[in-house]
Amino acid sequence: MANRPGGALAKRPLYFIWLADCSGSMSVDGKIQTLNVAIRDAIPHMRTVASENPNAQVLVRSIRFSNGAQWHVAQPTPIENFTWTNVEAGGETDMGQALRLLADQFKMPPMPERALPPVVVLLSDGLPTDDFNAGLSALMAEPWGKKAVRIAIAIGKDADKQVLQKFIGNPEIKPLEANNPQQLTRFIRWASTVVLKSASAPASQAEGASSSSNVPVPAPPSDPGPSSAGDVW
Amino acid sequence: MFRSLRPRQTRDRVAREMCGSGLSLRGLMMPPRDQPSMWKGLKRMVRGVAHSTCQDWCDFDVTGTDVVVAAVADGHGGDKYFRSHVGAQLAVKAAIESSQQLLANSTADLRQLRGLVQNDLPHEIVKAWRAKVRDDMQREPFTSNEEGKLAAGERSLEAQLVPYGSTLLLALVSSHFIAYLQLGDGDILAVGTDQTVIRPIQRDPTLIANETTSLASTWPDRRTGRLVHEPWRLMKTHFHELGTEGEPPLLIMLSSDGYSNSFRDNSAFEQVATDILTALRSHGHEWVDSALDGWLQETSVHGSGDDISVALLHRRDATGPDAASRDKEDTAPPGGSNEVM
Repeated sequence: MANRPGGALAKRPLYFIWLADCSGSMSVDGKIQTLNVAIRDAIPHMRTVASENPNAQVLVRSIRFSNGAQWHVAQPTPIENFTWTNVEAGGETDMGQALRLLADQFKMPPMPERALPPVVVLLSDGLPTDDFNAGLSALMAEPWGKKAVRIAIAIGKDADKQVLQKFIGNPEIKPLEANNPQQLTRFIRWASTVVLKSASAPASQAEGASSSSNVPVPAPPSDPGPSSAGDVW
Repeated sequence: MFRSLRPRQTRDRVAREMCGSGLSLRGLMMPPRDQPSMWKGLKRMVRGVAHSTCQDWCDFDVTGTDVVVAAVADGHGGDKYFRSHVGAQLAVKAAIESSQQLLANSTADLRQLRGLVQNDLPHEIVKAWRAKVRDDMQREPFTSNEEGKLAAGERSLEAQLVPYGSTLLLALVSSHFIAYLQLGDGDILAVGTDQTVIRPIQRDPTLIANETTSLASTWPDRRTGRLVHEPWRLMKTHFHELGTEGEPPLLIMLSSDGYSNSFRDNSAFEQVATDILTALRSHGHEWVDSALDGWLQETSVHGSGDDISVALLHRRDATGPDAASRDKEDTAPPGGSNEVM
């Protein structure tokens, strides 16, 4: 067959970003350890999802926040090459700064026009200790910030669900409440596979449509797994 | 009225004088009715690997003596837009028919034609599309399963249009003007006689992350809160007078966003238009027609995975005098990196 017209072809990039609360309270009752293990264990399953959606190039990054916010994995890393280095807990809960850091990367450039809707998963066990609203405003001021699929997992009962709901910005999607390691693991698995799959091949969405999300987010696990009185956060 | 063709400069001077006098240009520069249009068309749609039904539609008509026209539409797909493949077909039909009806036998001068195309035509297209959608709903009422997918509590006609949601791209070419119309994502490219690729309508930077404006777009009226369906307000148009504003392009290409989303960047995509023009010159119209399927399939598989539809109008003189007699299937056209990232 004769050479096709046009230049180089490429898959569409899909950015998947973890926002991990590494405040001091996350060191209590094994929460940070569970977070580290769950994200690491999710990687092979994310690779499976990526291989089933070959036209999306899944690129993973992560931000850790406690005193301030820093890129934990700064380079968008193809899921095939992504590894998770443990994060440690200690300090405050500067969630607003994490959102500002993210907002910077959602400008165009560096975001390409042809990217698929990004997926951002916020994991937190407490209340923001900085200006969360300013950080959220900065994120939502970016078109890619608005159009990202935003998921939140509340770790334990002290997590501020209202703040997490504001971050999600979609009344049809609620923060997931993980009160023990099994639930946290299950929700991390769901966010990194089911939601990722949905964002990998989204249908178009008319602007101004009544739904707040341009990617239909499947329902989270209805049975969040076993709970144990000794493991409740 | 002048019937014979005159040198271009003389025709332009006469055209300006006649426009100033309010007289019509029609009949002055049109080819005689028994001669073929100076334009030929090509179209193709391929289904994306991830889709069970192709949501795109495209068509062209180069037989008109007043105007030749091409249109592409991309249905939104997914659970909410469960009849968007139908909506796309109806959009292309509505656009082509409305264009032809509005401009058939028109004695309007260029200024009036500009107004017709940029103001009246968007309304006519939306009106025609709504009528066709209503007819489809009457022929095939929503099943109970489909009714369940409509927005809760919404049973207005405006809400019932949503499942048919589609984008629309349109190109009209006459002897006096070229016009383009765009609603939603997708791309319109034109290759000039100097081989440069232009976008008559610039991309809308807000249409990212698979979000698009649509024939089904509605919004609540500020005063009443009722849903308003006026997607003509979202349509972008470009009107280009020929003669005074330059020669017609050699090639016009309309394509759904599955095509441009398959390329590494904008310049890699825009190269498609010049490469196709080169292929038309080297190998001719029939050869390109036979190659299109394979090209689009390969692009979708290694690129976006999405449906791809393309409608092309090219000038007959773009193929060159001897191209039709050549059949070099194994000869690659010049240019065009086939690197896959």
